[in-house]
Amino acid sequence: MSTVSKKMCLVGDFGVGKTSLIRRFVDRQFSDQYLSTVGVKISRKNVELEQAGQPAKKNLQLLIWDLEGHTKFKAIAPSYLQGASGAIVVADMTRPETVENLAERIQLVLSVNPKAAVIVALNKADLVEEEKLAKLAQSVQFTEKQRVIAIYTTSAKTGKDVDEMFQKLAQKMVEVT
Amino acid sequence: MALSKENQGDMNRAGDQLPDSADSREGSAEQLEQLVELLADLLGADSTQASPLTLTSHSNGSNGKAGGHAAGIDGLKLPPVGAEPAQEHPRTEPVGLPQEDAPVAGHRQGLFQPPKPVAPPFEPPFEPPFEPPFEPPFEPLLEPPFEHPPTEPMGLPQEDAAVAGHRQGLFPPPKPVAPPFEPPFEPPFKPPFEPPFEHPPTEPVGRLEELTAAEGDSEELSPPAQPSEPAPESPPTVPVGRLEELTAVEGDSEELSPPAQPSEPALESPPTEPVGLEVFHTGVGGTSSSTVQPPQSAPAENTLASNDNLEALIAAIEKLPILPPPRPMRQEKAAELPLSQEKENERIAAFDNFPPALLELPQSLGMPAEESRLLPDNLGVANTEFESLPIVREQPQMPVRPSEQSQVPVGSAEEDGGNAVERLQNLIFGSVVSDFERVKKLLLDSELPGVRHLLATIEHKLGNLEHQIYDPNELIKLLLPWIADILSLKVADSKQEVVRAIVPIIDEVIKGRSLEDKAAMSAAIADLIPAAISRQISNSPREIAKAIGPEIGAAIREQIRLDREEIVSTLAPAMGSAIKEQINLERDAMVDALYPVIGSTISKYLAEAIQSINKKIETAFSPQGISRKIRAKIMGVSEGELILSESMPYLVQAVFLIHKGSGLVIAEAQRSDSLRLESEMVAGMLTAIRSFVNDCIVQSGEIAELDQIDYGGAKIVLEVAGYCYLAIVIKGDPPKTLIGKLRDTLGTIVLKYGKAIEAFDGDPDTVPPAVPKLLEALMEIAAKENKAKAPTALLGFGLGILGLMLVWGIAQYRSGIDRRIAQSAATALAEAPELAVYRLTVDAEGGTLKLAGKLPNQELRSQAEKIAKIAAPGVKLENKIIAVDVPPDPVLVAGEVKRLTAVLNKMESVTISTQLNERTVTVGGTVSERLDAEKIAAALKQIPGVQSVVSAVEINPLAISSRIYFDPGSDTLSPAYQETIVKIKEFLNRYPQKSLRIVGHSDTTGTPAQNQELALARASEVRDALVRQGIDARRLIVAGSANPPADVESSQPLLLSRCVRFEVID
Repeated sequence: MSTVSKKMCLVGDFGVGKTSLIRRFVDRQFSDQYLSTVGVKISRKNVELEQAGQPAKKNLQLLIWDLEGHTKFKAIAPSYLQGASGAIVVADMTRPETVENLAERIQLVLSVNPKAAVIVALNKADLVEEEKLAKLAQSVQFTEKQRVIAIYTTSAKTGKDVDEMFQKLAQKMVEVT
Repeated sequence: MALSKENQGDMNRAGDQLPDSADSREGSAEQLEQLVELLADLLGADSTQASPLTLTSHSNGSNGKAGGHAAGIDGLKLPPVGAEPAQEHPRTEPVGLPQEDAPVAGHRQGLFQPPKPVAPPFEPPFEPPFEPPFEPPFEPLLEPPFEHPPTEPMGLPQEDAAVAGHRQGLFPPPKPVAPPFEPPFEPPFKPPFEPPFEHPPTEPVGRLEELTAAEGDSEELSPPAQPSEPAPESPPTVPVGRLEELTAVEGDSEELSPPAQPSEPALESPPTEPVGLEVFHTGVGGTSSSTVQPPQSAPAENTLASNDNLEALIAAIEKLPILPPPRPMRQEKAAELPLSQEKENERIAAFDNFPPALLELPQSLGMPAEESRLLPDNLGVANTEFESLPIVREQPQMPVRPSEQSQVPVGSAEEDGGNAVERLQNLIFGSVVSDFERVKKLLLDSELPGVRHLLATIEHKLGNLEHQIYDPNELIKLLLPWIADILSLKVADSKQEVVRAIVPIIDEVIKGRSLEDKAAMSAAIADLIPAAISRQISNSPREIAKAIGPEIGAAIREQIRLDREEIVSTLAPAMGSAIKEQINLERDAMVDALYPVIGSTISKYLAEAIQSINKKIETAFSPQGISRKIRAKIMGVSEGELILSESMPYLVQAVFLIHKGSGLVIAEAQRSDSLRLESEMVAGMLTAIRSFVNDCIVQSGEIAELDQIDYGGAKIVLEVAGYCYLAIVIKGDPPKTLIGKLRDTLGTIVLKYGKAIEAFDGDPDTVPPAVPKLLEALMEIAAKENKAKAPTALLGFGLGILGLMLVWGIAQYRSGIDRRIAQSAATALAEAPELAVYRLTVDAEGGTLKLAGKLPNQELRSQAEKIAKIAAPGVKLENKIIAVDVPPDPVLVAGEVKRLTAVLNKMESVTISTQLNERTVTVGGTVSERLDAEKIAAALKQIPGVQSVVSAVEINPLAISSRIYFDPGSDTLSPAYQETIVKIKEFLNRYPQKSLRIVGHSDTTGTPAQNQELALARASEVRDALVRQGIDARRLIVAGSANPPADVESSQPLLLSRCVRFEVID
């Protein structure tokens, strides 16, 4: 069976952990060292998806576009978002301003790709207490909430919900198309 | 009479105490000593007591009474050495013979009655320190072996002949009379020497005739302490317990405490055989008392008198404490007591069944053959003597010193009694036979086949030991198991000594072993070599390097010879890095090293290229050549460049059809023989780059696309359509034709499969199958074109080089022309005094003369332009001179002044010098007219930068300095001076108001009158010449002087005197 390729983008403010999430998912690694992404970095990961009613799994090649989070690069982000079947909008739970910018990011993604599947990742969950995690997840507000498939509280450091998130999005990306 | 339990116990104790080794010998010696004491006492008793020697119960611990006994001992008369052997005592019925009559049995039993109830206090026997048994060298007995004549069994007339014969078979004949008593000798330990087995001497054991006169004291008899020396030089073949010499003893119910029987079960009768003593049964009908009969024949009354004492002695001997045996075996054997007839029979049977080998052992030890076999036949002599002897309970191995050995003589009853005493004496007080021999003899005389068996066993073992010790092979076998331990002990004890002993030869050992088995040695040290080398490397790496270094080359050569590929694969990975590093360290050295190779390679390449170019040039006028020329013109490149570019090979590595929006690969085609590119990653990054460029670099409103990305020798050509774009990865320089084909392919795809391309979502199944085929076809076309152009590549390269050279040549020519134009203009400007002092630059480029610089005013600027035009006619002039107030350069001013001075001095009759000082020129010299001075001043003042001129010129009248010279004696004007005439004419014409005096001179030769006349003629000649030039003669005055001119000295040549000079007059 041939492998289907899909483009997936990670967007969010700088330093929220986009690159770390990708690295955790693709390379199974994590590093505390912060290296700001310049421009865009493309990673690739093959996943297997369960198919309803079919015993065989579907092979999906994810092309993950890691977009720079700095504001000055915001203007060219739409170009990178083109053709994306899915997007993960990432925020840092320890920085409320990144959570506040989620709505804008989601809006941007959907404006370029109206049919794209969007997941919100509240990252750095390992730095937040359990009690606050749930509260914060519930308090996230954005207008396009109905377009968001799921909200995950993730930790690239511990790997919490990282694989599940990517798997979920990949599944949705295939279903949408 | 069966032994009482008490007696049995005593017997047991005696048997238990029978040692089987050196300590047993010591014990037996001790016991013998005690016995001696007892006997001594007995001998000291009232001789009227013609009673048998009575042995009362004695104390085992009677060793201390040896002294008391000594007197008794002294009183003992022992049979002298060499005495006749004691006669054989009448035999008693051996134990266990089924044919034995009841009275005999009862009599026998009566001999071995249980001891009296009074039990001596037990004292632990003295146990001398253990010393290895000593077996002194064999000393042959002085007496020949005694061969007892067969006799009737003593006291047993009714004994069956079979029994007697059987007894004879059981008991060998006794030895001859024992030598005098000798104290036990305890020499230092020597390895036990097992002399050849010999029949024990048939000496009577324990001659006790001296004891017949002794009272039957209940002296305590304790066996003397046996020394530790073992036994027997020649174990006596006296059967244990031969007591036929004691047959004259009445059978009182003496108490006999039988010695303990350690091993064999005691027989029912007689149970109480004393240790080491011969117990003789009394005659038939006697009581059950046992008596000890002296072995030798003695006076009957003494014999009879001592019989009781003897019995008592025997009983006491039987009660002698025996040292506890070390072996538990004895305990077991002791448990087998009491004696029983059956067991006795068993022992006899066992003795009968003695292993032949063991029986033959004595022979191997040197015994006479007839005596070497411990068979009843060999024992026949003794058996005849001891037929009637009861069989004593078998004793365990008890080495006996051969110091004493007694024989049991055979004789009448009285003689038997005396013999028994003798034998006992011999036994106790020493004979030439060792203790062991005595005991053995006693045991043998006592007709204890079991004891004999034990003795035989002892002999056998001793024989074995001797064999092992003296036979080298056996000795080796004996010592072999211990050698390792000995060495270990030695090493542990004194390691250095062992080391010192081994070190001198260790190299030889290694060498020898290596020669012997190289493989084994190699295997042994193989494991050590790597560690040793590692250690040495860590300790002293230089030494290792020195050792290995010289051979590394040889090793590599060898390895190359064996397996070249191995060396190549080993060194190859490091070659690149090594070269790189070397380049970093010594670049020049690498260049020098590679230069010959690179140069040759390039030369070869160029040669081929030029050859190709030449070929192309040859076809220059072909249609292809013409079209190429036209194309070159159109492209704006030289034909050579075009040829070169068309000749260079290129390689299409991959073609990707990429979705414009997502960057996903729709279709791809890659070469199979090159590295496969990651299509998705390439496509993604290309899309990102395109997006970046479009967003950041391209101006808004401008439509532009990224067409190409160059990297090194390769490039990625992008051809963008609506929803997709083609990216072709090319190595080399692709021709335009390829780009054209690329566009054609993309156009076809978009035209036919545009919708599918637009809707592409990443699923390759949705891509039309024709699309990948189109990409592959594109690659094939590129490959074909590349192959077709291959031969002309080099030709194009060569042509290109030539074209470049041509262009360069033209440029050089043009630049030469320009240089000349500029130089001429610059010269002209420099020659203009008013411009010379200003720095002006003159350049010519592309046919245009360019003037640049600064002049103080427009007039000078105009003048410069004019001069330049004059100098370079027909050239476009570009005057960029700036009119500014620029002070003249002092240097240039001074130069201009100097130049002008030189020019003015060229004037006629002007000789001036100038000096510039702060913009003031001072003029000196002479001029002919005042007007000239004024002109000079005016000219100098015109120099820019000269502010004032100070004239110090002297005005000198005109003077014609020219002179006309004549030949000697001649007044003919030479035509050479015609020019001078003309100049004078011109001067006169210039100055019309001036007249001229023409003065002729001559030299001093001739007379004055002649000289005078000649001088005048010369002047007239010049005048006439001038007149002919049109000068009025009235203006010419002639004069002559016979003297030379005033300024010509006499030393000067005469020619100078033969001249005409001119003076200007008003």
